[in-house]
Amino acid sequence: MRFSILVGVLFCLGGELLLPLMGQIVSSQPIRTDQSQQQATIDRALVDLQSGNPEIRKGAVMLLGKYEATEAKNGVLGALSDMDGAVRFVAVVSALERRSFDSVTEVEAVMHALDDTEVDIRRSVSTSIGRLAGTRSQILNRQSILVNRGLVGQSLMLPLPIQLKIVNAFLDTDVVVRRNMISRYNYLGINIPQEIFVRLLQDEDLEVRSLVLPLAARHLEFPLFVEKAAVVADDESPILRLSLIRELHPRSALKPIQLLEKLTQDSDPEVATAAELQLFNNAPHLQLYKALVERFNRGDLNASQSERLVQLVERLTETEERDRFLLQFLESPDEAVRVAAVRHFFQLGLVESHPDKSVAVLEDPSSNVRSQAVSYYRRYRDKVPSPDWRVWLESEFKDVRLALVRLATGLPREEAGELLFDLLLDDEIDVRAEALTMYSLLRLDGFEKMLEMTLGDESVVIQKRAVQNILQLMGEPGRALLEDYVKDEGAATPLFVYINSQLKAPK
Amino acid sequence: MSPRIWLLYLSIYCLSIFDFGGIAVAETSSGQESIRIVQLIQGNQLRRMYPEALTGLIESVSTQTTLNVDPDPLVIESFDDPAIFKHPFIYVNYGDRQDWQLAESEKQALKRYIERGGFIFIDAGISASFLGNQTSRAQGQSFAEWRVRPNLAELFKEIVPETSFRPLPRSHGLFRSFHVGLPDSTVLPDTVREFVVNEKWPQGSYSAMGLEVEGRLAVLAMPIIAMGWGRNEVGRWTRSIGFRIRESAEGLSDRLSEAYASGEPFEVTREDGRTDIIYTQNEGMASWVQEAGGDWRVFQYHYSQEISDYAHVFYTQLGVNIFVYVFTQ
Repeated sequence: MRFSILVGVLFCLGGELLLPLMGQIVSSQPIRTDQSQQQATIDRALVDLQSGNPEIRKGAVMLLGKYEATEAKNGVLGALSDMDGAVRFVAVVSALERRSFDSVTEVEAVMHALDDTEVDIRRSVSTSIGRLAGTRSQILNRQSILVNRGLVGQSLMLPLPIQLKIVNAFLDTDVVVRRNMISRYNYLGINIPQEIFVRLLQDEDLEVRSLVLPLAARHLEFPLFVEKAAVVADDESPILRLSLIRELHPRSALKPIQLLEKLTQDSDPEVATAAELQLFNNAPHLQLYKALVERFNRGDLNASQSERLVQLVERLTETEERDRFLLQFLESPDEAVRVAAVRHFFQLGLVESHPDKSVAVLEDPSSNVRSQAVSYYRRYRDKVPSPDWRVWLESEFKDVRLALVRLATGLPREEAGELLFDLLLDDEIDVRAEALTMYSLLRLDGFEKMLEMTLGDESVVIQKRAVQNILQLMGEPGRALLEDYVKDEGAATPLFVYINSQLKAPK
Repeated sequence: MSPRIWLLYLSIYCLSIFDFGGIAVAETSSGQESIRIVQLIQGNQLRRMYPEALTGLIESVSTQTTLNVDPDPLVIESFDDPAIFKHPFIYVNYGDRQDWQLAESEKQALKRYIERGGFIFIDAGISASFLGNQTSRAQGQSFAEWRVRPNLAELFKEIVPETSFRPLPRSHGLFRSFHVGLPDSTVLPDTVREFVVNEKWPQGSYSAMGLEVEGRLAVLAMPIIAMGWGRNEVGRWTRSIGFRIRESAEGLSDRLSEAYASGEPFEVTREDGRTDIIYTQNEGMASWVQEAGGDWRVFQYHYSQEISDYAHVFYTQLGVNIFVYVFTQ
């Protein structure tokens, strides 16, 4: 837009300069009526902006805010410093109404209003502070790219006075401003002093405390966070205390044991249990885990805590006890617990020592549990000592039988052939179709004859699958076989139509 | 008996008297009878307008009232889907249907649906002319106009020729069916609050056009309100909403009357049938207005967290009121 205006200006200037050289008498272009009308409107508003009456100035700013012309924009930005709060508010609203800013100066002028004495202005600016910071960076990046690609990202630092205003805004007397600042912290591109986080952890507003807690955990040095966050352990909100516990996971050698031990004595049972789980995560101990399992058995843990308990089982060094717990979790009526348990069962290599369990999970009523087992077998089949494929074959669940089809690729040919042959007689059409394809892909004994025979299957799905396999795997003899089949059968059955369409299709 | 319990009984009663020739209530997995909302989306469902909106509103309705609404709307692609006759409420965002030239079978189906007591809410069924025909702009801004889109007016004139869309007065029961009045407006800046309370949404009302059949509100059209319903998985509102506020200042009326506007002026219809003239700049944003009474005012666009939150609360309140009204009128 600005570029086109520039081109337009240059063109007009060029035209006037060229006129004498060309020696032509051309009447100068008349000024466009709309431009003159716009200019007149802006000029009147700029005069109004000098009025001693703040109401007149307010109206002038509102009107100037509707124009993109530079002097109109400057008028609005200048009004950000008006002595009257209502005028400044209108100026901020008008400035933020713009969808785009042309220069860093414009953006920074608005950012400066972050410490205005009027709370509505501070609320408006803090609401948009992330967008303003982002816009400023974009403008700088754009300029850097135009000037020198190497400068990109080097001059993004906010001017110190604005940085100071931003820092102070985190401690604004107005709670809405504080909330706005914290929730937009990640977009600001500046680091605020650690003591700000510390002070906000004790803010009177629960939302402020909730918002700042994860930020403090990320940005404070961990020992300092643990020390300062101790105050949150006494917070009246259990939600906040739970949030604190989430942040107290172990970080290398730093373990917030004392604070977690305190939280295990919390009056809220959910908080106390969460603290115990996190304490175990920091300092695994068999007795603590046993106590947690007992509470799990009594139904005292909520769904996510139960799942967490299973996940933490791997932290136990007492393998015998660990395996015993894991086997117990596999019997849980809670599907999520069994899913987590079966995952660890395979990860921890319990298949060898508990082959019966590895079979049992295939018969779990939950497909999510079964799929954990199936995917393990797919990836680590070699680690499973002589699995009993008959169990898979006779499974009541289609997904298990289908998985067996895919597993057949790695089996000895004779064994694969026997299994796939049985699967060709499966009750489910898609199992039969997959088995047929696998039998053919492996080119097991008599697969050509098998495909030919399957053309007479009672299911059209199987018939079509046979046609596809014949064409893909048997080459020209396959085409000839199908052509003969069509000739012999003759009738216009769905299979007849399908074969013809496939034979006509490009190879 | 508490009003909320009455509400439940009333809703079940209302459902039971619908004569759809099928079941008007469905059963949820918990075994309780529930109302299922039908949503029309033509074409790719993944590209529907405000995808989280209707489910968000249903959740609010279920949380705030005793209406038992199935959380999963039944999606149809065409009004002649026979499933509509099993459910008394169809929600459609105008932008979720590209072609509002309905097939004859759809018109017949809608006629029967309305005759049998069905209700249709057309969100964004009102869109001020200055917002143009681009879906994005008409969906992104709601402007209080009391005139349905002309093609909808024509369509429903064909379907139910004996009646036509009329403005819902501010005093209409729909606006007080459950929530009464506006949410607490003390969080708003003074100028914004004054306009919102007195002019924008007085007593919790909203720009609305209704088609009444045999004394019953059968079709409701409003400027888009779905943007105020959606929440994300952690319960936060998904959209940021700003307010367009009419403001004036001493001497501004004179200045505006002679000010230059680069865009075309547009007429919009007021609640009382008179017209305002909206002046726009190049970007198509309403810049100022010459009001029917002769005053000129500027549009100021306010964006702040508390304004956005306030708008969400109001739009959700309005949506809840629509649901409650429909099932208790």
